[in-house]
Amino acid sequence: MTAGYERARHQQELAFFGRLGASISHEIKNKLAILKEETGLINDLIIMAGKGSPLDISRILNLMPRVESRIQAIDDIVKRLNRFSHSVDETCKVFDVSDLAALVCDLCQRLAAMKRVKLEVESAPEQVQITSDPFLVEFLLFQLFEEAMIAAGEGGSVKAAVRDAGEACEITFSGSFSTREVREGLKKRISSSEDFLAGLRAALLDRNDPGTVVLRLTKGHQGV
Amino acid sequence: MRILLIDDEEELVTTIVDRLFLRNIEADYATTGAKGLEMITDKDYELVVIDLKMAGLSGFQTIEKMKQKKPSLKFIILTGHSDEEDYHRGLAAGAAFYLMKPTDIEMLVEKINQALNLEAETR
Repeated sequence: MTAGYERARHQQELAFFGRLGASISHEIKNKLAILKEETGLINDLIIMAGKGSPLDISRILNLMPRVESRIQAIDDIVKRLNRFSHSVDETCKVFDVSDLAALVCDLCQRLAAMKRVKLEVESAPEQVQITSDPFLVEFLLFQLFEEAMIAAGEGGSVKAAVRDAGEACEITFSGSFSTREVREGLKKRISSSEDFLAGLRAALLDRNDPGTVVLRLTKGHQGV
Repeated sequence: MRILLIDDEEELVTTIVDRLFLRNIEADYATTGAKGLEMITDKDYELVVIDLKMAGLSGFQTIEKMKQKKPSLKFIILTGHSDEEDYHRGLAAGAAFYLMKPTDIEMLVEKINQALNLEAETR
């Protein structure tokens, strides 16, 4: 791979990191805004009671679980952000592909909601462990998810099903999209995408099945 | 006062409506730009408080369509996006104020009053 391609891909990886970071921070900010209004409303009701209005206990009791669930939701987002941030710690590591695909899917949910696309992962019944660079696999999965979401369009759906295929793990993306569109889109998203896939010992399989893209990740040691 | 709040975070928008009500400001809400457009056709609103990043019609698209229908409508943008370009675009689109989430409710009330007073002054 030429230095130019490497530089371009490095920028694409940084852009991916920044894009998800911005999306997650926006998600946190939205949840905090709701939390601020809900606690503000509780405060309003207490102040009104202090001024002589009867305290509406049932209203406060209704608000409290909402506040708690909001805090839980923010905690979940931060945990995902933490996991994602730590994925750059090791460039070669053993991990479960269903678990990683579910993380990328969760990280993409806000983008999916903005595009009004239903996004889901069907995990393999058993763990499918591979040895690879988790950040690069996340990068690849994100590009596939996003390209499939764009191709699916508003009201569409994208499902990624993970399965053990012996020497490899296969992730089948299916949904209301054109296979050719997603494959072509991926080439534009990842500089020298064939070299990138080869370096990751990954491949997009031809199954001649419209609305399906199959990603194969070899289980053994990989490194780009 | 006839105020419409548009934000795709339903729990946020309904809680703000409740808090405004406690401050003697009655407001309706919509969770999509399309629904908001329907609502301004049915009712004579003076002011729309609107988010920018929404699924379907964005805040800017909604403002543009609303201004075509009701040129006298006033807008306050209430967004989580601290983007300078969006800020200038918002003011250029005719928004009276550009507020960041999370906002202080008293600040929102103040800006609502100011935006409506601006309207009264220009009549």
